[in-house]
Amino acid sequence: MKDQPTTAHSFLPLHALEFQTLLSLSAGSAHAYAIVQAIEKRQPAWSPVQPTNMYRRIWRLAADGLIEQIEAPPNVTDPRRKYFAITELGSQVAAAEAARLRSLLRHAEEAGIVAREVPQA
Amino acid sequence: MNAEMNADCPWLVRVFRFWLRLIPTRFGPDVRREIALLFEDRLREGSLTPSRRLLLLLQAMADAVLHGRHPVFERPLRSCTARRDHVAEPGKRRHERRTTRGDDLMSSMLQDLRFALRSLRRRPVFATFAIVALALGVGGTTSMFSVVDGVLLKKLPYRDPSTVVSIWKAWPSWRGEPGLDYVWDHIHFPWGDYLQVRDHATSLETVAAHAQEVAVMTGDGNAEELSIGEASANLFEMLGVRMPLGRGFASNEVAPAGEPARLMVLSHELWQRRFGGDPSVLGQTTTLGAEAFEIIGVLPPRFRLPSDLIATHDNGGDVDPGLRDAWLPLGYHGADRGNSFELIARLAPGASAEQAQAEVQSLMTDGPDDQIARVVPRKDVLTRGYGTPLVVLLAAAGLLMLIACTNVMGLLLGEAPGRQREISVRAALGAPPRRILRQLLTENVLLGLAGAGLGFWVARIGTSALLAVAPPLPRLEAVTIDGRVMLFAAVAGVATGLVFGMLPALHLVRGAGAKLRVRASSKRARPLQSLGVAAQVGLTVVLLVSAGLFGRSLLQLFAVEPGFRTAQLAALELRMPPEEPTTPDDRTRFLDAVYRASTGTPGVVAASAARRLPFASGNGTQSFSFLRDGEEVGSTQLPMFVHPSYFEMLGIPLLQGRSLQVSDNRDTEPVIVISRALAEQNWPDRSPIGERVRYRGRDWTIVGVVGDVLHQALGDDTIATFYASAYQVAQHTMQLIVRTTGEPSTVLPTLRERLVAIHPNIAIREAGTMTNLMKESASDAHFRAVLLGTFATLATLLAVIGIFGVTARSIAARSRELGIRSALGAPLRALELLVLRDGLASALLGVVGGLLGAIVAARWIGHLLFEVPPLDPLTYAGATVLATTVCLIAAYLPARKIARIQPREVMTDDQS
Repeated sequence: MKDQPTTAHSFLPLHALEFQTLLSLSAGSAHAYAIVQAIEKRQPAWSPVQPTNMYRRIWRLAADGLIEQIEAPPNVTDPRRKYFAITELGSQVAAAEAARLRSLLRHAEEAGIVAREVPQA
Repeated sequence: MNAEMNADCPWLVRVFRFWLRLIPTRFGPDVRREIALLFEDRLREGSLTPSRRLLLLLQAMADAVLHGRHPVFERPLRSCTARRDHVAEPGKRRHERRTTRGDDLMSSMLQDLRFALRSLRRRPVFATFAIVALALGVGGTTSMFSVVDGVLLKKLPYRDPSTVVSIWKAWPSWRGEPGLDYVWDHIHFPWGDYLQVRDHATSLETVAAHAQEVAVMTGDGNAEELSIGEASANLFEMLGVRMPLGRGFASNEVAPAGEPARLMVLSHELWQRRFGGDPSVLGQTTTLGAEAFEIIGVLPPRFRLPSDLIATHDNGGDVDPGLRDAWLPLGYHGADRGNSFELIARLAPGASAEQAQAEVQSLMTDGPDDQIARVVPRKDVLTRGYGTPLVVLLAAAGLLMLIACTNVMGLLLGEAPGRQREISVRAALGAPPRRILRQLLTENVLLGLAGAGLGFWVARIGTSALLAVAPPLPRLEAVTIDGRVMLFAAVAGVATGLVFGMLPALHLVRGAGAKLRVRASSKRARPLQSLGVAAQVGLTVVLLVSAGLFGRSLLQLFAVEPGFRTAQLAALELRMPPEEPTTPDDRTRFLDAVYRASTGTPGVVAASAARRLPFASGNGTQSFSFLRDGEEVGSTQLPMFVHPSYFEMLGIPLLQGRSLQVSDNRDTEPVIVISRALAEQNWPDRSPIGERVRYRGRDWTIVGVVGDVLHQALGDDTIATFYASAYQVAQHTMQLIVRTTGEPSTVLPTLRERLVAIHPNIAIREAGTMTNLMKESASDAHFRAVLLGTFATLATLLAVIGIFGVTARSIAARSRELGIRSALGAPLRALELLVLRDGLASALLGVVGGLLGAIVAARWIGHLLFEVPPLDPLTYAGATVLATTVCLIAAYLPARKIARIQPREVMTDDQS
């Protein structure tokens, strides 16, 4: 089978947790727990992110080259933690996914779905 | 905060780590560590309640099962170093998904798991109750199993253990004799008979012998009293003991082949304790008694050679009776020591214990003609007498497990009405019954696994607690939480989930066919639930009655009058190296010095000394004869050599004549004081004062009679005793007894210092307070009572949950009916009675059934009770009242909810 060229669009749609992970790492490198905290701060309504599931997503993103494992920053106190940073490809994929979601939202607004979501008392 | 959380949660993290290792995953140890770390971080968040933490654990465990086998974990992780070579493969994800789908079975099982997890997550209260109930059942049973496994089931740590036997003599004439009954079939061998058996028995491949002594180790460090074993050259080799350091004895270093050499093999424990585990100890010399011994070897850890008398008679207060601190060559203390040699042998190939017994019998030449040989497999030796008590406790734990299972079954049945609609919809959409059943059973297995996981940790805590309160059982050192115990917990959990979840699952699947109505199924589930509650209450009553009987038995034991005042008494065992003090006069002076030092210690009110302590002198009986009407009569009694202050100090009443006096010494006429039992036994119709007794070749005159003292364990018969003054029979080892003004532990350090000042080589061992010695003598009964009490409490708790649940669900299911009745003007009290009837009827049925079951159980445990009849009416009445009251409360609490039922709402709900 012939290898296809890597484009950001070929990764879409992204799993919500993967997209959230990329969003978290856009702000700077972080370890898994910091990513989880950032996600849960953004999405308080989500049920707690479970450790194995989180790692499965991180592993996939790293295996696909959207994020990468980096050396721990020098001031780190806990040497057991792995640190991750978003790659250039990862930033492109996050941007493409955000654009996709924005387009979806627009369609939803046109269809009146968003307005109907908050019923009047 | 973090430090506090860390201190609270490590066991949850350990459970999760263990779980990650247990379940099949596709990630390596690296990722496992990371995932566990993430979970640990989670636990540190804010102030989590214990139940929230438990929920987090269960969620994380389920999540690991769901996601841990994802193929992505098999792909290499791209790190910044590998980035340059990276070519992303977008097609790879689709390929992954195809691969997963291709594995139908795995996929559908994962689907089942996922569904089960979602389903349980939707019902957190139910899941928590079910898992906790299972954990209590699994934990209790697993704890008891770990003890039974260690003591009764595990293979002995010998090479080819099934062929190893112990050999004794038995003398039926001693059977039933006070003080001798316990030893009548465990008489050791004299030297001559040992050699006969060793050299001529063809049915025995190897015959080894060992003997026991006590000696004081001096040399470097404190003088220390040691339990010393003497071993034949082939003992360790025959048992397959592999020495971690050095060697055992060679045949020419042991009698009779050679003169016993001054060589010593250390126990692992002594090596660690006294020599700091230093390997260079080999070849060094150490002093035992007055002799120097060369250390030639160290035994493996936990090497024990207990006899089956240890728990009741042979320990004399030892905490670890099977342990010998060090071993010397056999015969070191001489061969002419009467029946001192215990034989352990290996059967020849093809020979049976019975054949060996007949052969040994024919070879015995020493001793009375009516003595018989006994050859007993070693395994039976160590478990004799412990089987039934332990199995009783295991059965009690099993009952707890059964209650937990019934409880879970009740919970599952209670869930049925709420789930019937969901299951029916799935069936209507084409899910085959088998698939639905599998789905439901997956949920139950998951519950069982979670229960087993938590139960395993309950068992760890339980086993530590059991070991802390356990009486000195043989092979307690073999009790560990190992793979077998873990397997037991896992199988117990999963089997419970499957077996007890089957009935509710079948019930749901059967109802799934056509009916989408909830009420019909709810009606069918109710009798089953009620039956479940009846079973739980019944089993609880059995446990309550058993616990009550053991508890009353323990109280009866503690009510036994020991014959002296035990309050604030502490004892110290003092032992001198054999070479000093050398003469009897020296020993008398030594006794004087000890007495003076003790009475002069601040905080000591009174002091005395005796050769033996009460509660720990069971095996000290000796034979002597006395003259009755000019005729010599033989008898077996307990000789006590005491300081003259003994009776006054302990508060033993003087009934006739006079007490012993300091002036009764080696230069005056030998006199004794006897116990009331001895007086009544031999001189029932007249005063024994002035009668003469022959003992150790001398005639002793009886000068007084004192009250009986309990010298054996609480609950044993009083032994006839005579007391001689330690000033007339100088002793080498004495138990110093002191009565203190306050807590004995505050006085003992000063007292110890004063004693060491008398002689630096004096070995001092704290024997404990008299109250503790008394309690320890009843440790079997204590163990049973505590354990049964715990099981009964847990069972009651589970039964409460069960009854509460049934009544609450009964109200929920009948809310419409209750609403209508209320609307029609039925008083609240009448409605409450209506639903109370549901919970109470089954509970009362359970109480009646439980009482019948308890009568059967009590007959089985009757022989373990002390002065409490198996049908003790007080215990049965107490258990009935307790069980009924608890059931009433458990049913009444949810019944109060009726007052909140709004007729209009429930009727409208039902129409929708």
